Amino acid sequence: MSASVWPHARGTAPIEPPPVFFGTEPGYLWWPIGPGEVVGVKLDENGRAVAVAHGTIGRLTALDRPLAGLTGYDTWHPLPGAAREEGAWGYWIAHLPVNHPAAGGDRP
Amino acid sequence: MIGVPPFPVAAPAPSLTDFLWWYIPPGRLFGLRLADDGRPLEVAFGTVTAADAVAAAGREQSDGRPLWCPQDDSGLHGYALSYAPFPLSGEQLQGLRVKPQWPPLPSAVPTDDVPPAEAQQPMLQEEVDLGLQLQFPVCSFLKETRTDLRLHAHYAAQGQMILTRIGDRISATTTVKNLLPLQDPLPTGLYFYEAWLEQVATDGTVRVAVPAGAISVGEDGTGTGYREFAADNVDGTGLPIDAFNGTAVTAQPRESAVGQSEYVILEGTLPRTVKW
Repeated sequence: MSASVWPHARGTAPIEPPPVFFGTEPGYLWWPIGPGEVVGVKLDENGRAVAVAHGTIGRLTALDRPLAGLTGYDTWHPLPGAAREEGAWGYWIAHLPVNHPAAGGDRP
Repeated sequence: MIGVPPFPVAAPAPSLTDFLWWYIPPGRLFGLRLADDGRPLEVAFGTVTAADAVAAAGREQSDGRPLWCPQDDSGLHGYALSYAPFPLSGEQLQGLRVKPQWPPLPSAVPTDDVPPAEAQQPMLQEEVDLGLQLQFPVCSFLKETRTDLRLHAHYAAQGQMILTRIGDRISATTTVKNLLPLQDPLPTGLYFYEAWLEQVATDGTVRVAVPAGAISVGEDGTGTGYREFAADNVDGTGLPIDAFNGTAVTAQPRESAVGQSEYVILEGTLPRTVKW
């Protein structure tokens, strides 16, 4: 590229969507939204969205499971190369159905 | 907020009711636009942002979709929004053999007590006033402007550009660390990193940007770029080196994404007191 006038002004450029990742389990797409935190979409075999998923980094231990699973973090996906065994690192994941009855609730 | 899952909310703006929305504590939004048959078409991301951090001119896309919308009636805070097309259908995803990937993470227990770049590189001055032709290198420390291309998510990406004058030539050496390597298997949509010398106006507008070397980032997240310029006519712009007061590192979109602007990852300033 040669010298150019950039289309942005410092500190005021719009945010860009994060890059997408495939995770380690089929049927999901994920986007990082913070350190050790991802949001994703789970699809069925026909390509329909089944759930929105939220993952937070943690080991496969009862101690690392967010709030002992009481808030819905009932699934764990390993990091690439990690075995599904006690103490391995991965993501604790909660699923929220896209047809959730409360969808379209209060203004955020 | 660890352990608190997202919950469904109403659209943050009347023009965004074609998305389903979830609030992700604290202060984030995730939107999903579906076709009639339930296939995802588009996703949206929102982050709570102060109104004065967003230029009025940058609050709307060319198609009229908001890039910022107020959070409450005061208008002081709102959500900065971005949108991305859904990259794959479920059938494609099921049939695709992809390398398992998660966003980069530290391999051990995360820590935040990383010393800033300045503390790690005490040998270089940021303010230099020699009053004569520069004999020593000048360093512009680069500060992070977006975090999603970190290799290790819990550590800031860092960098510096060192400018050295040798006769009528200026050499620019840029080093970066903790950036995600941009390799073909990664579906980031980005192609490579590039360093820039900039002329920045007082209102923050970048008037002129001159490429100062592509940066190849390796598996360890570090990389270096290098370029030389004529000191009195930098990159054929007709501008002398002292007309430049800013530095940056960008990630460039792939060729298929021509038309998108570069993503600014790191930014720095050149010392005003330097006498080149």
